[in-house]
Amino acid sequence: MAQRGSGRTRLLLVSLLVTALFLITLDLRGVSLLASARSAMQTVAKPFQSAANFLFSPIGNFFGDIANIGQANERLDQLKEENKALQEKIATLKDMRGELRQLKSVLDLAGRARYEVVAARVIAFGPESSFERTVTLDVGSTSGIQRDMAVISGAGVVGVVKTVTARSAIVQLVSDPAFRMGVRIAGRQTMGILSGKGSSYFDLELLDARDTIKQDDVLLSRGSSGNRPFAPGIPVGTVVSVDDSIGALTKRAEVRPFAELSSLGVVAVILSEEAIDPRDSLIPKAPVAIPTPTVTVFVTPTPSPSAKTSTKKSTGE
Amino acid sequence: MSIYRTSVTISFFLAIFLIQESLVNRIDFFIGGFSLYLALLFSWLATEEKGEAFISAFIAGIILDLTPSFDTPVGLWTATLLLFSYLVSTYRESLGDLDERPITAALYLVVGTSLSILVYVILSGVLGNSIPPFFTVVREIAGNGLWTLLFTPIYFPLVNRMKIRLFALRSTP
Repeated sequence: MAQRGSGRTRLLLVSLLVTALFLITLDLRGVSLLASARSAMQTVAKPFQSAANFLFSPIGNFFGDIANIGQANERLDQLKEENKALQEKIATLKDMRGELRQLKSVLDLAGRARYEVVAARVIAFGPESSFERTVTLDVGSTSGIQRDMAVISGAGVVGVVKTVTARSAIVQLVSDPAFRMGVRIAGRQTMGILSGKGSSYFDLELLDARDTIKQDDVLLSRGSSGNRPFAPGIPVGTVVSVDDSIGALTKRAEVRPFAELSSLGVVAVILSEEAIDPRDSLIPKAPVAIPTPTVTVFVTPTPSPSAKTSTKKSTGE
Repeated sequence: MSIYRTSVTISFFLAIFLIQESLVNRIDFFIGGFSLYLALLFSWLATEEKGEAFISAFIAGIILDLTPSFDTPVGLWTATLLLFSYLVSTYRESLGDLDERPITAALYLVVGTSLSILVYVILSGVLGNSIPPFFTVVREIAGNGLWTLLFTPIYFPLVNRMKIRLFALRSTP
């Protein structure tokens, strides 16, 4: 009996093996039935796969995340480093772009005035607690800088060199309370004394009480003796308000400087200038307002059917 | 093999096939992959009689062969698993009671699944299919062996208990 049973299982094995080999042969010969069977299997399995995928995908993702946690952390650290480096690069580029713009404008002003200048970078601002308004430049006597030389930015006067070392110079800003300079109103010969107040605005006191001054008047440097510290014609600022107090001995006004003294980056120290007075030619041009285009839409009403009917009626149709 | 037993076998392997396709294949194992399907098949075969083992292997092979993503000829997995079902059912007695010998059970499963993959790759090459690079095959087989070994304490007793419940209840008068 056992031998008979063993023979049956052997026969079963052989028949199953033959079936498998037959299937292989059919598949290798390109019988489309098997391809269809695979396709049918996929069709049958797809809903189950979708459902199983819906149910198990969070678990699969969880295991996947666990498996990749080391790599993910490493990648995260790498990306953080890259991000940091890129942010530093962007900040540097922005800073460089700003400095370049300032350098271009200051050289442009110096070129128009025909000044011989040394460009310098502001490397430090003086402490405000000392009530002095100063900045330190990265150029000194080795670059030809001397005491009482005028310092300009692309917009106008910044200050005067007060102290010079071999490789640095300290500049007294126009906003310093102890700063005084002679100015004139552009287009006229009205003169006055400009003095710093320690803030972002300056005081102007006209020399002659009979002179007139009004808001938006532009002030230029009057020029010092021997052009030291100031050559004539350097833009200083604009009048923002006038003190018209009756009985005042002199006319006074408040002035806003052209130069942005709180954000100085690149400036130029005037080494020498030509003997020509540039007059009012260095006044910064006011920004041109670009008009915003407006769109005009014309709407013609479409005649309604009732209107058409009434028109027909009126025409006798 | 009764109709009930055949339908249970088909349902079981279809279910495992779906779990393998939708869940296990999604997991990114560190080394190689893990064939839950083969591991459970060999667990299933460990307690089957010869004739039942052949039919179970044939059913499991056909289901595996009909996997649409496979490029290999239909029937190759069937032939491979039939060969291994013969070997397992012939030498099963020498392994003893695998429920009481967990290390032997784990080694049996690791060797069985690993060799079946290796034989499948070789037969696939013989039939003209492209064979993956040697190190890829080694990594896959080693990885599969490792995960089969590690998960044996979980799935092997489960399959045995499930089979006892399914078929013992049926055979009770």
